[in-house]
Amino acid sequence: MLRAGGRRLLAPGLRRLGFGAAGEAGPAAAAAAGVRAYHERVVDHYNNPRNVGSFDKDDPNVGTGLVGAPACGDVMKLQIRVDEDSGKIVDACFKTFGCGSAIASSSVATEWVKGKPMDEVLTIKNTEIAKHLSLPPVKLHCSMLAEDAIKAAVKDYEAKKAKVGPKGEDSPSEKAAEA
Amino acid sequence: MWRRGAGLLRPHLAAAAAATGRVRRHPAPHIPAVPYSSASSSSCRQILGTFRHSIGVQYRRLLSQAGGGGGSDACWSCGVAGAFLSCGSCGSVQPVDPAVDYFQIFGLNKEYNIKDNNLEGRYKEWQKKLHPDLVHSKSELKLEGIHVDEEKTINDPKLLMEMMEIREAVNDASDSQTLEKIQSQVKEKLETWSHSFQEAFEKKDFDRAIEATQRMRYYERAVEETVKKL
Repeated sequence: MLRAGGRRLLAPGLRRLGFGAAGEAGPAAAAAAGVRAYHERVVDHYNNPRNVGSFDKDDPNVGTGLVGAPACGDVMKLQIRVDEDSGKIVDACFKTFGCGSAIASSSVATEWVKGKPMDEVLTIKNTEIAKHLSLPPVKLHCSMLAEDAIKAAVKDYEAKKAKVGPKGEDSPSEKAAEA
Repeated sequence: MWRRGAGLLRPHLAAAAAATGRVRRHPAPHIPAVPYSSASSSSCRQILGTFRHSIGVQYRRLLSQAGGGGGSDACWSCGVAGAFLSCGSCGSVQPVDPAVDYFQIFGLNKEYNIKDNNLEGRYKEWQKKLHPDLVHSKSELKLEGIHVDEEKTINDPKLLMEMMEIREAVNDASDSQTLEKIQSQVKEKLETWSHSFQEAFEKKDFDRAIEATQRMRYYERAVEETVKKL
């Protein structure tokens, strides 16, 4: 069951492969004809994933969350760009290799974290994402992946800041060591 | 002929009980030697057949779980020695050596004319330890201890970064030559980790066994993707 869902497609590939722009009907039809009828929001995020991409993981203002669902073989990367002074997340992006629900969950997550302070995004629960996308119980773990990715990204950012020190100065040598 | 489906276990039991009951009701001296032994052996066979079946089910289950093993009389689950059919210490059902016969199972001398009227009692004693209804959940609980929570997410950066890179490479590959190259590399990793799993499982290093299955799942997914694109 999980495997069947996990075999779908990859969001990052959508744009690159031109699905987002040209093949609008393709993936939508596939999702509709599939064994499970996805909620329109899932289909929407799947066809037009928001904020697909990558930030430089060595940028001191970027936090990277990398999580996986080993049962499905899914992997999700969610990155946040934080404004150092306000502590707010100014930008977010993701790259997910997984099923439609995992892609939609991470797409929603990037939308929800943008413009919010870090401590606030930590309160985002997978159940809220699942509810928003009307995910069936068997797909709840996909939203869990998104929740964990947000937490991991914040943790990564904070760890970076702690390493650099309270001065907020980022020494190039330190960045090189991390990379 | 006496080997029936698992669903017939209860009727079997009832039949066996009725058969032995019938035998016992007749006072032995009045029964001619031949009919007596045939009645006795038929009830015996019924019991043994049922019994063998229930053990067979467990055995197959164990085989699929423990990957065979056997030979020694140390419990596969807790390692305590002297485990025969059921472990006296942890209650786990043990793999059955096909050489074991029913005389051994029931602690009887190997003779044709069995004069053991407590056969049913012994059978029931074994059933108390081996009946699928009882040991099924038990062995599954045992396995829970080493079972991967399928809903759980992982955050091992090394593993995930590797998987991310493989999937990106598959995604970015534009010609079949590149895809085939990636595929063979991933298949090689799959093979390596499959061996690691086997080794870890045999050593009961379950943490490593779990990591191996996780990696294998990721490699399998990557191979699936290359197949889709090829």
